[in-house]
Amino acid sequence: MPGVLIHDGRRIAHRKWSTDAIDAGFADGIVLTPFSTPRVSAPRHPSASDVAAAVSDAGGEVVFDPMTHARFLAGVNKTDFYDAWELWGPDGLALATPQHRLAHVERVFRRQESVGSPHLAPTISLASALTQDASTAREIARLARGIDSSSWQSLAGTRAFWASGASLDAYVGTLVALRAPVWMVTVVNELVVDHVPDMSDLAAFAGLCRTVHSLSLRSRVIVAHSDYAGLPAVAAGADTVGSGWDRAQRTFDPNSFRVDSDPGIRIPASYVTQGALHAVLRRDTADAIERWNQSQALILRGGPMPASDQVQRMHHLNQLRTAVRALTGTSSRQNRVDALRDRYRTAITQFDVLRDALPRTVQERDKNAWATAPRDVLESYAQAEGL
Amino acid sequence: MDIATLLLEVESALGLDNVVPLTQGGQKIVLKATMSGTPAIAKIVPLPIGPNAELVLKRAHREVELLAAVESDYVVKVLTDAVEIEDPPVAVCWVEEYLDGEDLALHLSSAWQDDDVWRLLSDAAKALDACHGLEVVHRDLSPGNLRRTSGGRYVLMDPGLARHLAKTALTGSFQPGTPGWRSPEHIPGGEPVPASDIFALGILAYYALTRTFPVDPNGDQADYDRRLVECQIVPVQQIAPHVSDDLAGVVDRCLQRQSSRRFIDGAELMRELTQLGRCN
Repeated sequence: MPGVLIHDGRRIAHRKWSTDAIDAGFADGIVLTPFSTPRVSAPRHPSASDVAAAVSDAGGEVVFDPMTHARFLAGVNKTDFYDAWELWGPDGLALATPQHRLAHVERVFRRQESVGSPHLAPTISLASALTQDASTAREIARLARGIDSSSWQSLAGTRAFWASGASLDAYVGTLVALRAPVWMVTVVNELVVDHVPDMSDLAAFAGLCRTVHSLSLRSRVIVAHSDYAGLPAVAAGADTVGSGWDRAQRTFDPNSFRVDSDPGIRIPASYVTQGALHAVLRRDTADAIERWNQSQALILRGGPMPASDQVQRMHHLNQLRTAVRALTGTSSRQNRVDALRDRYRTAITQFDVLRDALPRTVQERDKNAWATAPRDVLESYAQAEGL
Repeated sequence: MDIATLLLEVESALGLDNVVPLTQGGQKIVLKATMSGTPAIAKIVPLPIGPNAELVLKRAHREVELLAAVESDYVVKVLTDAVEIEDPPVAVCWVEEYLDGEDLALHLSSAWQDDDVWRLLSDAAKALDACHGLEVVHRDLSPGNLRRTSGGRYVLMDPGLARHLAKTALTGSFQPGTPGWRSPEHIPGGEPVPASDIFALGILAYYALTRTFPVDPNGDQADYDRRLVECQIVPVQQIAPHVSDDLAGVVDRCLQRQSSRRFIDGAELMRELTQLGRCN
């Protein structure tokens, strides 16, 4: 089901919000993880089976992502729910030998079966396509395919990995031969400082788009933890983005897997999504836009002003899904690219209007982060592909 | 053991008659002979003295095992197991079917018509499908390894450098291929995949149509490698405008710089050719 998948989170109402969004047609399913949803129910946290059943009843897709690529990150210790999933063999957290890999993949598959998820192979985060880790990730993928030839596959890497040009392309060429029906790809951030997407690394995000293009020739592609930053990849051929209501759902935040003594401010303000800008701006900014021009504000938001953060959660998913479906509904890759070009052109124009009208409220950095930088990624990819 | 004695031992071990040496070069001696009254080709690999003997022996066994596993009219058939001469072995030998006709190399002196290239692509796609279906990459698809029989059929030969995707220990991943006929995955550090054979087939088709290499192998080796990896091929119709759109589309896709953008294996190429009505 193309559209939006809601990544897992620890909010107490996660199950209800997820099913509400799916019922309303604002999302298409969920991605459970062993970090955020317990295998056995805990106080205020229903078990994965219960969450999966509720989502399935609502007609949503349920995917269990083992998030092995997160588990191996340095300093990851938020494992209270994770450990109970028992995803590892007797030697514990290890992928060095074929036996280790087999034990892990088989356990992951069994857990996925228990919650009605398709088999999604685990992977590890890659910093380069030329390292031993890259070989290990490919061995895991081949092993998973050997167990289930229709297994979904994962590919996760840092910006350096996605920016690695010809070596990335060669690596992807070896993965395509697995003929996976679905690929879930992730840009692994090493540091996330706020909720604003950072797409300044043009080579990395163009590499992501190029890879999505290649994978999508034969497979469905999901861009995990991407939110609006995933739209260029959708233009390149992906059909689904991963999102949610919190920063750790909309972007891959390594800190969300750590019990940090100083986590910093996670929710610094109330926000309102501006659908026509592909942006999430502070509520006080949204209010200023509303005061400036009520009818224009309605167009920019894509709907009425959300009266609460709960309404905003649904409004955001609705706006994001509308954007994704607007691209996936076109008939060719060229049309997708052209459609997204139009959307960014509109967003940039509207940001300029807002900058003129509200110069102290709407900042140049807002325009750059939400419109100009992703537009540049799209153009870099499109130019290389002759689109 | 001298050559004459070796030939006698081979003749006896394989039950050959009418033995005539054809070539001796590289690591092999090739004989023409008859086996049970049928024309055949015998191949002999003398084993070097020293630690490499075991490796060479294993490679020879693997080549024969591969050929025996592949069932296709477009891949040369092996008629015997790999037979070791003496104990400890000094050579290994086997018999393959005799194919009339000539190596493709002898047919590349003038540009081909579209229909001839379609036939090459179709037959080679069937051969590669048979290999790739067993997860075997040929890795050295070049004019010297394709034979055009007198009936016009193309047959893939000499998978001596082929690699089973799951069994890299014998040869390692790296295989330099033949200059001019290499894929981007043939560079040092690269890893040939089934789509690398597709690229090599694309070079054959491109060369047959244009009499030029899509990536010029002449000059500095490092620069050749760089161009293989970084440069997208000039579309075949820019060199040979007479080539049909369908054929140009297939050849250009075979030659995509990114292996994921090519036909990823013989089966995928065959499907495309079938859809175009060019593969029965």
